[in-house]
Amino acid sequence: MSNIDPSKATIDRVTRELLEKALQDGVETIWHRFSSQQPQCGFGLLGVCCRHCLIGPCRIDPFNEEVSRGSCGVDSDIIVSRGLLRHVCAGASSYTDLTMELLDYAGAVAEGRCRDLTVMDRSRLEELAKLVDVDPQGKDETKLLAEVVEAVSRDLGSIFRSKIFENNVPPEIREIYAGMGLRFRGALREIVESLHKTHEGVTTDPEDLLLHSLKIGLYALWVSAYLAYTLQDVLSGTPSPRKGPMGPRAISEDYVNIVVRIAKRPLLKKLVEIAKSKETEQEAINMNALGVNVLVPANFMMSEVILSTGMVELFVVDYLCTMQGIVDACRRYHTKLVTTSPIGRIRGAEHVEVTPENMTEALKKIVKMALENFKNRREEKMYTPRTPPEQAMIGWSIEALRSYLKGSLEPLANALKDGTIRGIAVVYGCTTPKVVHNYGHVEVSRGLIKNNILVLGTGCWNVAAGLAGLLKPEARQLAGEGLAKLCAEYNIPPCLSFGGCADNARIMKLLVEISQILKVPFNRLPIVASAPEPMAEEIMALMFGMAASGVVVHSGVRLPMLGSKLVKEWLEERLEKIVGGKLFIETDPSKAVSVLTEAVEERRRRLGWS
Amino acid sequence: MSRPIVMFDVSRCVGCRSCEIACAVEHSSSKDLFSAINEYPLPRPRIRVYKIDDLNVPVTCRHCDDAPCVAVCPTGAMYRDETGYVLHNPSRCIGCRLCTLVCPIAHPRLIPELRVVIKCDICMDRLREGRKPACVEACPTGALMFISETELARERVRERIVKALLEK
Repeated sequence: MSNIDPSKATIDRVTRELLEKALQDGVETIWHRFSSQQPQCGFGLLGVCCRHCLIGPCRIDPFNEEVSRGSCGVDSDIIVSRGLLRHVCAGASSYTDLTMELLDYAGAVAEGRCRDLTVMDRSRLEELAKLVDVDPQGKDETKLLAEVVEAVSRDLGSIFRSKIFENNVPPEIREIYAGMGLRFRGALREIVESLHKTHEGVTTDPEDLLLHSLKIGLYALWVSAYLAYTLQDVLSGTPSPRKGPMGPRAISEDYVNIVVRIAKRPLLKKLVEIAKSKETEQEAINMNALGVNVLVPANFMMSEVILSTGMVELFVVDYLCTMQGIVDACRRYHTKLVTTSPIGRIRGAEHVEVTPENMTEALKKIVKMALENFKNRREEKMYTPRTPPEQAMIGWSIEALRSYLKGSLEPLANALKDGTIRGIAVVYGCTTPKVVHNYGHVEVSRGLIKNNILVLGTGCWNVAAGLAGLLKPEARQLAGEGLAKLCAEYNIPPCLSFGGCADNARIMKLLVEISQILKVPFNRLPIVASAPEPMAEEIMALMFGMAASGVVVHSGVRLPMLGSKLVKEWLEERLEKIVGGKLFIETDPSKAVSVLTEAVEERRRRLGWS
Repeated sequence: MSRPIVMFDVSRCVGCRSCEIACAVEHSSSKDLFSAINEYPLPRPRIRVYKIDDLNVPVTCRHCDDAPCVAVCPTGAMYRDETGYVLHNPSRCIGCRLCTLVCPIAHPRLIPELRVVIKCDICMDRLREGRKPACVEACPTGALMFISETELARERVRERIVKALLEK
């Protein structure tokens, strides 16, 4: 096993401590395996390797003109753009499939097969009903839900058109692409069609392939992720921020600890409910524990080292980016890994399938597994980090923000217009061994708030920002004067944690509302986006969707596209002329902050805002 | 003692050509893949992977003891340095390709825009830092080895003969 230096692997103190402990315990981590993968294949890094047909693999040699075409004649521009479209399709599929599993749950609630969930937010259900032309008048929740599930399913699978796309994507954006000949049918047709396009011998026009990557990105963001968060709100209520301890220090020696990576919030909520029930508490007391905690203490890169606390009884997942390496890490301790969804099956995990019909029963079984595993803790393996715990406010929604802003988003919109804050940035999650863990997230977020740019983030960013103390109201001390003033007036942090990756669609809705209040087209607002440490294809889909929506988007990791000058120039320059958006790569976070800040200021100048 | 050179094991070469990429990047001015692809002149790999029948053969300079390229070079561009490796000074090269002609594996290759040949320099800068040549470091399967023939012979004896004897 290669040597890993914890002080170079992560900037986070508690992760560093846990990594040191994991190394002592002989745990192999993602840092080890990434190191053994070095050097990575140059063709792959440049995106010039094509494996779409059985004539291949073919690759373009950037250092040899004799190898400038694949066997079928494609050049690097075609291979790169075709590869990107496949990545974006996979990312969009994740959100779409999450949505479809949630529709299973919603359908089961409507049909009475699922008695563990109900409609928790009627107004959100009515909002969705309107999008798909279902009249909510005079219908009870069950009937309305049944009709909405049916209509949403039809829309997703429609061969002809998507009302959700038409209604959600701001018209100023949609019209640009419609004008370029793109059509907007059901999300499933669009993804299938784009995969078809990437098949050997179908589309080789790089510009068409890039336009479709943008379109599929729009679907991921404005349709699939939108439906995912909306259905979750319907079934488990609209979130409002809670303040609590962030990160590994939430793992308490006195409690039975269940660490989760669960995408479906209704399932998570039910699990917490069961864990916190009187019945479970009594069982925990019988086992000499104070109770059962359900925790999300780690982002992707931390998910192995978190186990070195020796106090995680169960690691429960559905399909929220759970790496295979956790299986081996679990074996070093008493921790058991449990999968719950037929979509995410992990080799070496125990599978307890949770369905809409058996939710309570299956989740009780899972909690029982945790309780029973408590006695298997080994004293000599237990470790409580010395780093003091950090507090964070997580779980913002538009509704919650509106109530903090005293009933309307206008104070935020006005602060944006009058220059109190200079802009708004969306920061995407993910963590990767290609960037020092949490360094990208924290540098970008700190840099932006210092420049008076409000940060809205999701996913693995939450843990990074939380551990750096950016998710509590006191973090306004790190913000520029204007942003600090706004934060102080309304008692909000300068970095707002909006939940999971699918909740990026919630952020889009918030930005649309601001665009409507200010009567400024969406793609002219001083909004920027950044993925400081991207890893997942989902984030690639979001980056493309955001750039396609006319926003300047930063990636802190090189996408597999630099083998094509055309693609790079297209995404950095041509796209700006089309819609105002741009996707650029910058591996130095402080340089990225400068580019993003300049993009915000440029937008302000064009709007005539001081 | 014989000096190490780049040896290869054709049975381990999967033909990925990572050695070619690493060689080109090592001989670029930026030493960074993402910048190297846009440099002028384009850095070229010295090592080449040939597909011959069913074999992948990664070939680079053998740094011959009695090097015909050194003997035939009319300008003294091709020379043997004090460490024993065969090196090439592009400022004296006239691109006549006599070296290519006499090389048993036709290793020196003319770069038209530069009007000089290029050849393996055994990554001398890296050797001085105690590192292996870039191609060897990049090889994911261990098909390339930086090893002397004495060490190679010992390896082979261990692998092929000692193992066979032990199995009997």
